[in-house]
Amino acid sequence: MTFEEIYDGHKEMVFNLSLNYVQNYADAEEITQDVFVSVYHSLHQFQEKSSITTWIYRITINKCLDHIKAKNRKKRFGIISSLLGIGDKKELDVGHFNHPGVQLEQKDALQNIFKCINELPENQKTALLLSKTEQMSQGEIAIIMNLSLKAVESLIQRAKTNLAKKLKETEG
Amino acid sequence: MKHKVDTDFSSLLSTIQKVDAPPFLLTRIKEKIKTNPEIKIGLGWVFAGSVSLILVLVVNVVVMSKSNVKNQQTTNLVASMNLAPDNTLYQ
Repeated sequence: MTFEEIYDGHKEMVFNLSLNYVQNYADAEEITQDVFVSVYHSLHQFQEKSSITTWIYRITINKCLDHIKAKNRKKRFGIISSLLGIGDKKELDVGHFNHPGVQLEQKDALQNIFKCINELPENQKTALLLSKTEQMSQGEIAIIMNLSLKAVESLIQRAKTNLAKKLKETEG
Repeated sequence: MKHKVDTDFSSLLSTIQKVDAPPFLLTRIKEKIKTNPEIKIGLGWVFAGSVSLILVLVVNVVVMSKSNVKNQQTTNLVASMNLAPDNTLYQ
């Protein structure tokens, strides 16, 4: 399988998962680029213990997490810079909600839901997004996250409970 | 109530539509691969780095232990010759 074939078969999957993870078109585009650069460099290391799709899903999730961490570091630095009066203020409002897959009439509601999802622990957020936006079965999620079926079940359950709690807090 | 909130966000999340990947992304990826080639650090360099770090630590420990012996010798000399150990003139 050539790199171009892998790209053609997985570009939509990678881009949409990244978009759901970071909810910003430009960021998702950057993550997609990073994912395929990584795929290109590590293709020779890929052992066919899992399917290539599972492998790419894992790379995508890791890249999304790295991207969020880098952005948070940048944000913290931006806050410190603004307090000290140095640096560019534009750095503070990075990563606003810009999801072209969300319909206009549901934008506010989904923006609120994603705001609460972003506050969940990393693994709960991943499990919930794979389950609800990628419509994956718990078995598939277990393979991607390298967890047991029971662990995934419990992660999704905890994610739902925490999310419901957070949504209730924002309403009241 | 909890069940209703649960179904609410589940159904809302399922309304998100799939988006096409941006155009010309492959060209940009290829450009990125070309401009940022993978930096591979050989095993030899890793080994050399670790050995030098250990060497520096060992030299530090040796120098520090030797300087302790020297200090002890100075203290003994000061005591044997009844020299004032500091600059205080009046007690």
